[in-house]
Amino acid sequence: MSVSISSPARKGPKPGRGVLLLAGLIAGILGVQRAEAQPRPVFDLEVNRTGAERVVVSLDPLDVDSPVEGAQEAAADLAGRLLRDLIYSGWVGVLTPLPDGVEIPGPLPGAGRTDEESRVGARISLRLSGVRPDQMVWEARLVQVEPRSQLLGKRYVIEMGTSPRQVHHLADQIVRELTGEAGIAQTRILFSRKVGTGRELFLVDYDGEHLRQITRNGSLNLVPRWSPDGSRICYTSYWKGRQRLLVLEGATGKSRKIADYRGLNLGASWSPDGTELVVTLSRDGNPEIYRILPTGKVLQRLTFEPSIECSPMFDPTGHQVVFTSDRTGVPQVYVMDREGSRRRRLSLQGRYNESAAWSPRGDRIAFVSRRNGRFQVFVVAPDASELRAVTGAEDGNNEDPAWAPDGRHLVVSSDRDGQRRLWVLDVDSGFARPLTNGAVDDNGPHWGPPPVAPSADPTRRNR
Amino acid sequence: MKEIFMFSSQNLRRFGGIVLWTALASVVVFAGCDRGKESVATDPTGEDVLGRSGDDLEDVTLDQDPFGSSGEQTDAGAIDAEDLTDSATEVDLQLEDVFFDYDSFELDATDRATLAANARALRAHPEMRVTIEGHCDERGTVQYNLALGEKRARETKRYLVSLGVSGGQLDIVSYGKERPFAVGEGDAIWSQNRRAHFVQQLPPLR
Repeated sequence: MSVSISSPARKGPKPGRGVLLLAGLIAGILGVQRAEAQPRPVFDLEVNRTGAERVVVSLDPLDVDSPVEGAQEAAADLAGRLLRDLIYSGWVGVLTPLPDGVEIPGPLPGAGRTDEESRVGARISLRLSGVRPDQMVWEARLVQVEPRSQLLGKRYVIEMGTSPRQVHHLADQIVRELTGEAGIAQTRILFSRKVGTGRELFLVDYDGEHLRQITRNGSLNLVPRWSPDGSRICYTSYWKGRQRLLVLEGATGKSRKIADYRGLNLGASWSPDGTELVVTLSRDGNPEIYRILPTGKVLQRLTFEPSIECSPMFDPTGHQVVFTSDRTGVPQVYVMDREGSRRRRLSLQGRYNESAAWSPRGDRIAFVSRRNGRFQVFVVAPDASELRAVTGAEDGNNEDPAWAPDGRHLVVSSDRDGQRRLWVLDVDSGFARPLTNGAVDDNGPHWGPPPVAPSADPTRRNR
Repeated sequence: MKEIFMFSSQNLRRFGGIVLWTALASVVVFAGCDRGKESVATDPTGEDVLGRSGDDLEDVTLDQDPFGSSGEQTDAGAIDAEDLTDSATEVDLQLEDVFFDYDSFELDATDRATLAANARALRAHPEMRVTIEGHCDERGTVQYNLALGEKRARETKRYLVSLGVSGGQLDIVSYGKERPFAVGEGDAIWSQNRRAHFVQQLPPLR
């Protein structure tokens, strides 16, 4: 009964170790999801991209051994958050009903839960003990059902009354153990939020918690982009009325100016090794794309058109750059190599295609396309095939797509419920959930790298 | 000129934790993991392995969240935003804005007449410096609109220079769709926002 999880939509690395996918799961969950999607089939999904292949886990009754008041509720809260993280990964489903007292905070996709016990591939057992609320011991075990085998055991010290990061850590460990996929539960999203007449940069955890402001300069701060290792953020700022590129160094908390050319200093995207950026400058009289060093020194001008050239982004190999040009009279998405040659057009339909984002897996590119007067997110393969809509006419306007490190989720800015705020979309299943609260205008999101680079993670196996 | 932004010490500490966080988060594994795994996998009794003495568990310690775990909700209204370009000046040149069609930076006859009047005022006051702001309506993406606003400001400057205004009097900046004059939907609103807007700079000290 141990078979590989197959996902025809994905061209990235496959799990080296197949576990736990149970027969019948695909059809069953797919049925649930399709039923819930009606009568509003918002997402134009191909069947093989439904991402409905979930490993199902069950949660054992909670084991709480503590005289601390509220320990039972705290254990239930931890469990609910863990299960939510697992469901949000897109790869794991949860058996219902849940043990007494455990509730999963929403919003949740229909596909994340099933009541068919025969599908359970692994059990999760959680134990909370301790006598001090600030030093509770949280133990977790993951046990494969057939053949019986403990897959994982972790022990954390946590503080009650918080929403501890340990939950996210455990969720990512479980996802990787079950599927071979890197989870996103520990990731964060950077974005620009309207504050007064300006915009400031903010960070929020991938689940919408722990919002924090990271710039306070009273200016317009736009289009922030993490460096690949998460140590620096490059962004555009209008300090003293001039548009500049700044780099915020995590180690010092200070921003320094890296580009202050006349005109545009915009839209930086880091190379995968963090040694270069592609940016839009107009210092030579027109918006064009350049490669620069993180010091601001220009290495090469890549475009030479009288039209607007903007929104560059490296592919995950660093060999190619996707960008926007309106050389035909309207903005379209193109790809060129890092030297500016071998250009080809990627967007072949519509008269406004922009904001391309290359998946970290390299297998698809998300971009914004205006259709019937509204802006929607599409994905397409790098060879311009497999175009499909991720959002549709009933989703309002959707812009600024940015990929999660898993290459499966997108964060977008959307006004689908009136206010422009950030939403997380599961591109494979179609599930959409709001990320920020919408009281203010949020845009320009960028999804941060996981806290541990894959190659440096000693817990990583089988990859 | 010192051109480094200072951030609050609170945020400085938080952000500064990223590197440390990354480093420490990688040190979470103890050696007993695989051993515990094997012993359970071969458990012949089929007894429930859960809740044993704990030697199957790997202790995990995460560094303190570098961005704070208090879930601070920043008050969006708490910041005093200052507009550093809108400063009062002694001479009001009364420069009129020019307006553009959607996704266009072309000047029509009305715009050229407006700019001719603006050019006369600017030529009469060669000591005055002006920033031309390029603006767009809300339809479209952040980066493309910033580039489009740049084209509008640049085209406006180009035409003024062609009328004899000194290029040294004219700075340009694009705000894309980030600073709309009017908020709402419909072309009555949007057309107001597709503009090149003139802002007089402070006169030089004498």
